[in-house]
Amino acid sequence: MRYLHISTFCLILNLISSFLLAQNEPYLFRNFNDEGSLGSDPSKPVRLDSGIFFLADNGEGMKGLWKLDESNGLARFEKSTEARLIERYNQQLLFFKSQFNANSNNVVVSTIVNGEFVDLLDLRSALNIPSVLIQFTFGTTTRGVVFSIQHGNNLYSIAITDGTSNGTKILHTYELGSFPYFIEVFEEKFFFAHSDELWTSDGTYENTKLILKDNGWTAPENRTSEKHRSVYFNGVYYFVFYNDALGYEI
Amino acid sequence: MKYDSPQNAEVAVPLPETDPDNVSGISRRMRIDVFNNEMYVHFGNRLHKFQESVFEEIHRFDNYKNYLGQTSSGLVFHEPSSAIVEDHFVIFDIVIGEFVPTPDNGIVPAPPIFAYYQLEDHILFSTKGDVDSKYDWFVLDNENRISKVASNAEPIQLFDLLITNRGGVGRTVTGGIDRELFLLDVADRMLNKLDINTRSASSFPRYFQVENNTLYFMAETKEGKEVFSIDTRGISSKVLAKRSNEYISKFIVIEDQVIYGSHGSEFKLYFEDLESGVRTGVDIDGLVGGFTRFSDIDQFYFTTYLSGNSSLWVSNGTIETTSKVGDLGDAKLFEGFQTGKAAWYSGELYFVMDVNNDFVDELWKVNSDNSIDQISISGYHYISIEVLEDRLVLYEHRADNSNAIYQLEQDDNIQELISFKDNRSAIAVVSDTLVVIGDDILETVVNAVRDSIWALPQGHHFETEMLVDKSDVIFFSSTNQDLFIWRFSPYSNTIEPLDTIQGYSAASSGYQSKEFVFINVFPAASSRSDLYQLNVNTGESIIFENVRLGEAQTLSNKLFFVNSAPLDVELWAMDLPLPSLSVELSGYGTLINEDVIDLGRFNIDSLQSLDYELLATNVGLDSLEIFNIHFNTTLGGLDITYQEVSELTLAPGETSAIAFTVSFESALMESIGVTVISNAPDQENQLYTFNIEIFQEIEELPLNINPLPNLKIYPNPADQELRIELPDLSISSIRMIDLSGKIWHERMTQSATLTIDVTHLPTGIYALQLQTITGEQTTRKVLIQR
Repeated sequence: MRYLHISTFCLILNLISSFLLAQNEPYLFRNFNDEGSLGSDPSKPVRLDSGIFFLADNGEGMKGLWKLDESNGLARFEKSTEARLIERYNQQLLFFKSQFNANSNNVVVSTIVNGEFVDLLDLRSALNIPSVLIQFTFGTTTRGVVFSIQHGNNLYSIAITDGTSNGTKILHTYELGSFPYFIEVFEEKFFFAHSDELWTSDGTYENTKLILKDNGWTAPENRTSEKHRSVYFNGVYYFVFYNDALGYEI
Repeated sequence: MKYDSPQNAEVAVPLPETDPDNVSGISRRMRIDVFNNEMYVHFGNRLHKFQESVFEEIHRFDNYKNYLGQTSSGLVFHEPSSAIVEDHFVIFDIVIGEFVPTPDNGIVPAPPIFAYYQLEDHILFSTKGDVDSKYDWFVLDNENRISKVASNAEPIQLFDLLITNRGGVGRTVTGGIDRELFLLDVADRMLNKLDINTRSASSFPRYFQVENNTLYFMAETKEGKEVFSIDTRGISSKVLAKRSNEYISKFIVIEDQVIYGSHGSEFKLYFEDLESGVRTGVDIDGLVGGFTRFSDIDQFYFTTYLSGNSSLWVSNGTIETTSKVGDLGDAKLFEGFQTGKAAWYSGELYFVMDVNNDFVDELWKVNSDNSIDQISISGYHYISIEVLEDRLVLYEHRADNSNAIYQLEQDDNIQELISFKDNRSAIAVVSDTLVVIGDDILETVVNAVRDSIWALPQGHHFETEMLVDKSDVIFFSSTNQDLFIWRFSPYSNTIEPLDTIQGYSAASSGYQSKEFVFINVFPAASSRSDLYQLNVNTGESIIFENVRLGEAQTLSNKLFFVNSAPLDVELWAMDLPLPSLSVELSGYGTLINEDVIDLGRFNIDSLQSLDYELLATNVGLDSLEIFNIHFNTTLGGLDITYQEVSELTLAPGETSAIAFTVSFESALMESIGVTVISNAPDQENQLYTFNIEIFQEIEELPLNINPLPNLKIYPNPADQELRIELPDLSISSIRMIDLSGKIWHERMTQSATLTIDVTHLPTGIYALQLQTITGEQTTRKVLIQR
């Protein structure tokens, strides 16, 4: 077999001393695109009485919670966390941190108590499902934070959490598709639509109800510049749906 | 279902009529809003107010564009006017029911509007800026004033708007890559980006190719895709710069020209001389997907694609010899032929392609007359092909996770060699041996004869990566807790363990060069990716954490590779330890040896000599007899001493080491010739060549530019004196520094011509640093030699 004799190898090493050993570490050879930035990938900003908070990554180890100083427009790093989603509920920040595993995914919900992160619950246990991926948080009602999850094959759910196991529940499960086209969250209730269905909920399973289905209308894509697909006005929810023949109608 | 009253919803509150602006009668631009406790609907060119359960039209626009939002003054529309060329904003005052122009008549300098957002009592909108792909941003405030808040900024899409006491803050996406937080400061009329992550954008180096002892690759710069090179000294240069209104798709370097696909206003294949930059082009029918070139074949092939149509082209390196071979349907050849999807066999091009886009590969061939035929096989899934000695071998992975290997017989008939059912499978080819891993068994196929060699230990499973180290195969197994590295030698049918990586569960995407194996390994309980390096000769291994190797290539004594573990995907390098010289003499008719082996670069200020050994191995003969070995050099800068070999006999698999020492003097680049006279068939008097490059480190050599092209320094090497001439410009200062940093000569001047006496300078390499009276600086390498 082709083995380099150890004695010769040592001799070479001695001759070249630490020169080559030190050079053996991988190093950045050249950055051909040193313009621009990779992006901080910030979460949505959330206001508390103490300021505006968001999650972001400076790419150099400061990945986590940042606070925006409104007086000068500068952001200050607060605490490290792997959480990527943030919401406010009951004057508390709720953080949603995904945990990926080959066989089962999970999401840990945490908050900050006395300046430290405290885990409140994990969605896999609280919702009693074997694997969960969180997609989006949509806002906060009086009963908690509304969010969508994927679990199992082609199973998606709208769920709500107030940071307790009892207050964490799946409100509606649907198959196929991705996240709902739009969710409008108001104080007491919220509405969501996917494919040809429009649903409403007050955050309880009992009062999560299908309003509209199977009439040839579908929920429109909610593009950023053209929001205002729905309003809650004088106790009535007005929304825009799409029909191939008539286009958008209320 | 748990709904009880779907009738709660009225399907549609009746609007007076559908959008008359659209002949199809389909309503568009629907937007509903609440303003001053009243509900308004804007659709088509009409504004409606909802009252008493009906929508009442309150205004019909003559020439609407968009309803943008609202301020406390009213609803805001973007209204082009026939009287005013520029677009402008208008406020529809609900109270008086009329349009109110903004104080500056609402004229926006550069319409049309790109994006607009409601920010409580303000509207933020953008228009095209003065610079391509840049935008000016404006805010319309609650006093109906329009202020520019950013000039020539990036296009921005805002999400999750939140108002601060200084304006609005929003999570944004810019340019599809950067995601940043922007703060609209209404008080100061500024739209500021919070640069929390200010690191650079990725260069994404790719398409590595070595030609002329130079590594070529494409990288993203701020200009776009450009092509760069790195030579054996590690100096990088730009080969192809992005031209205005032209985009480089793919490239290949053949001898002295770079050939590349270009698209913009037209699709071209250009042939550009590497030295002069002069180019000629030929029209092609789409974007170039990729180039395919085979050794010993003059022509190369390339694929194009455009709007669901792919084509195959052939060229001999000139526009006259470039022609289309045929259409390939919707083969989606965005990257050309992938590895293992094309082979040159018996003077014809065979390739695998899913022309029907049904996830089933077919085998095709281009005949010598450039006609294309499909070989009549069906039901083949995910085929890769490879030329194994004088046969074409097909590897098939079927949809049911079964696998089969075939070889092409005469008249394009296909014979099955081996089949197995396993979703973890790998193949490797060593000389005339096909090595197959499947069903947790390692098998070989030689001349269509199948032989089971080895079953994995209990609890192990194979990793799908196999690497060929000259005559051996390196493969991996895992227990999900630990990773095991093995070496299989087909000639001796032996398997030996090389290393165990504890705490690592998987391996993938390896690269092998010389005696080194590199492979990405993954800790069992972590998402981290580390790089494992193994010297298969010494057994020495090392793990570099948080390094993920992508495309890789060794050049000289460096490994260049794409590292994707950091967020920036960039070109990284690693200096490799010295290689040993290895000569393998085979009885199978194959000389398993590289024609030229780079011994590396050496700093002769640090080293005076290096010891090597020539390893001669018998890999197939019943008895290898080496009668003599000679060493010689091409120039006089090296001195080699070695032990005489009078007669040496090696049994099969036996290796003998012949030590030799290289002493350096002043040479810069040398070749060592080794002549081995043996009884190996067809290898009498075989000459092996090893390059050795000697240098003296000059840290401040410029990377890739020559700021003073007219500067003349001669003679170089110099003996007595060195003359420096710089026409049309005066030199202000000059100095000569050796590698230790010692300054041997320094002069302030205002002359265009200088002569330096170098008789007192020791022999060696110096850095000559020069600055002109206009401030330009350059450093040149000067050799003093006597």
